Amino acid sequence: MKILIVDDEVIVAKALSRAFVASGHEVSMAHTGDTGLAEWYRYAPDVVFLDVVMPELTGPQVIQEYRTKNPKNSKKQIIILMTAHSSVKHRESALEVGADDFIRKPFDNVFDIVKKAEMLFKELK
Amino acid sequence: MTQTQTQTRNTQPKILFVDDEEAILSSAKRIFRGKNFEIVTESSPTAALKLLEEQSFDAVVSDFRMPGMTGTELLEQIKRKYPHISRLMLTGYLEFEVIQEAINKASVFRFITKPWDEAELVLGIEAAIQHAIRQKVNFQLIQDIGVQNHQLEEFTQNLETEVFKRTQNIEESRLQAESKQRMVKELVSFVKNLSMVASVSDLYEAIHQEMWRFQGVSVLYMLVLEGSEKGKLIWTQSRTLHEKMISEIPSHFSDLSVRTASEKDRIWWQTHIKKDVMQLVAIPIRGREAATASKPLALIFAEHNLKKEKLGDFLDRITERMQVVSIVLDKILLKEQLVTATHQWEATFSAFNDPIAVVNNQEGVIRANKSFYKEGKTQCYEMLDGRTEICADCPMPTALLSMEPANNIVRTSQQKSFRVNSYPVKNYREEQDKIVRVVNHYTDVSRERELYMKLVQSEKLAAVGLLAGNIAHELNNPLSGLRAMAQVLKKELPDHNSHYQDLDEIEKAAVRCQAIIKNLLSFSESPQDNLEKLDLNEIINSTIPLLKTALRHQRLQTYFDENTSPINAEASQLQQVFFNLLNNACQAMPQGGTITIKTWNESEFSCASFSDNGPGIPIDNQERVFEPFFTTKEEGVGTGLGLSVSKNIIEKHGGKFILESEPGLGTTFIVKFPHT
Repeated sequence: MKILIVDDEVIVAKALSRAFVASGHEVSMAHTGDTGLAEWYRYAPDVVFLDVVMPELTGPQVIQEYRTKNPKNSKKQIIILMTAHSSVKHRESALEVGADDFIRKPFDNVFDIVKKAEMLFKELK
Repeated sequence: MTQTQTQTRNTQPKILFVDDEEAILSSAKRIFRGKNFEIVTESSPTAALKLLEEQSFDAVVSDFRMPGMTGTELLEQIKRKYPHISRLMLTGYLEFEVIQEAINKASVFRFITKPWDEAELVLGIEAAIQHAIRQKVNFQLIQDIGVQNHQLEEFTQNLETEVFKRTQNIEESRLQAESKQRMVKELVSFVKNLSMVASVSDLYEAIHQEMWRFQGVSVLYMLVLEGSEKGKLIWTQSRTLHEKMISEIPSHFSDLSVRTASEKDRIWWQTHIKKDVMQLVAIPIRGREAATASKPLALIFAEHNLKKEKLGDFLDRITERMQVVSIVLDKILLKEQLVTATHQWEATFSAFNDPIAVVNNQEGVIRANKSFYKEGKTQCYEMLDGRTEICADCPMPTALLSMEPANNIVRTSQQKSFRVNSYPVKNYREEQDKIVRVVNHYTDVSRERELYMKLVQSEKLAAVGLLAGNIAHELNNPLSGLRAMAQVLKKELPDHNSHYQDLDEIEKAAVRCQAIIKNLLSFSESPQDNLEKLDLNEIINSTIPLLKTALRHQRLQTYFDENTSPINAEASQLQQVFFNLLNNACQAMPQGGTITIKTWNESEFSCASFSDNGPGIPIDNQERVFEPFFTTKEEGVGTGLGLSVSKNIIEKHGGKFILESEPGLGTTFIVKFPHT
């Protein structure tokens, strides 16, 4: 799987990244909404992890931007919001902003996230 | 008469000879010539009588037969007029009838027969003169004695009168003295009686007893015009004391003189006593003090049937006594005022719910109101808190030292807080300088203090909430990364690598940080969002396994009431609470102990208690344990948030959180949640 991780907290991105790499996946990282959006176009990932609260564009804004600019994009990908924010507590609220799922931060085991991503991607196929 | 008769003895005796025969007369003259006699002769009895009026004679010698008047008749007249003149009769023949008549009628001294023997005649006349002189002397003596007797009599009589008068005077003054003495005695005994008088009724009794001495005083009434018993009317009938209250006292009783009751008095009387009163004396008792002297304090009415002359005596007696009575009544009323004032003070003191005590630096509590006073105690700290020595923060020493009011908060062993205001009282007697008193006013501020502590707590909580809201998320992100990185690195490391343990420490530290943040976040999160209908027992049961390791050294006893009613709650938050409580209990007993969990149902609450038998929480800390960041645990062991978070969660669920801890015996936390 091609994984894009967008999080302004570098260590979070790096830890996630290493967990995916360790599980045999390909990972690209970005640390702002803007760069994340650009990377999304360029890299065309299978799974996108987006932090909700970021400088410049927030996670949901990145999703909206991507959808607006690529309305015909046929490629299916999994979008997962990562949030410590109380405003996104349920799967429903994540779906509302165009994501497929959400992960509540802080997460207990980083490898559970890897498993979750693998499972969702499998379902998508 | 006596005056004409006075003549000296030395004078010659004088003899009057009366005879119608000249021869006899000249013969007599011849005989007595040269003798110690003076002879006067007269031929007619009438002339002789005339002569007797002019001259005095010692003896008269008269012939019996004479023209115009017999010798008896003449001598009879002389006897009658001049009894002291000796009378002799010349007679020519001794006729029995003549002699008898002459003796009877004229008390003739001697008869001389004619013709006379010369010597016999001289002897006869001398004897007659001797007799006349004796008679005269006798008469004089008798007269003198008479005068003397009379004088004596008069004198005796005067003397008797004088003695009688004197005796009478002496008796009178003795009676007067006795009566005076008696009166003084009575007055003294009256004053003595008065000295025992303590009330208006007593005073009445004393006056009544005094007036009773007067026969004729039938009933004595006393009407009190001032003081607390104003309007009280006292009287006795058949030795029984009667009392009556009269609300309206007329103004005409302001008269201050002792008097027979006026018509006004009488009418008033009849209205109030319902009795006809004929003779009444009104005796006002005025005060002696300047303040009370202007009007009567009481009025005594004496009903009597005394006569006018007795009445004066009675009024005198009363007036004399009224001065003393005034003093006594004044004293009674003043004492009454004093007692009333004292009572008022006591009532005022007792009316305060706040404890008040007057304390002096030598004897302890002198006075205290009901809220403060405790039987058998003497010191203020004994009464306030059962202490054996002065309370820690007592402001009294400061007040005594500075002689200025001081205050402080004193906490009792019963968890009460008192604001103690200590007011020093300056002595009015300077010599008592060493004794200093303070008035201590205690205000129970336990509730205020509790509220204040709560306020402080909630302010702290609000601050924590704000902190949590702003910073928790910021912290969570890096922490998540840190933890995740440690996990990843641990996995990447080959087995038994020496860094593994260190990475594990990093992850644990991150986990603990997250726990703190989670707790902090609970201040700002409302639990209302995820409320479910839950069973208290189930939540507790689901929490116990999370503490498996900590509970390893403890004996756990559970007494669950299966019938506790369901509650509305967020399971994870309650789990957090129970986790905290059980974790605290374990930490309180590092060497092991017994932890007891009980649940039960109350009318509105489902309750649970978590008890340990550890060292308990010191009293001073019992309020503070709910404060955020308050901890007695070692650094790194406790965050100081467990109990404050728990409290916050419980209160957000509408529940109650109660701490019961006895130092040395253990601690129990009770939680109560309202039924659904």
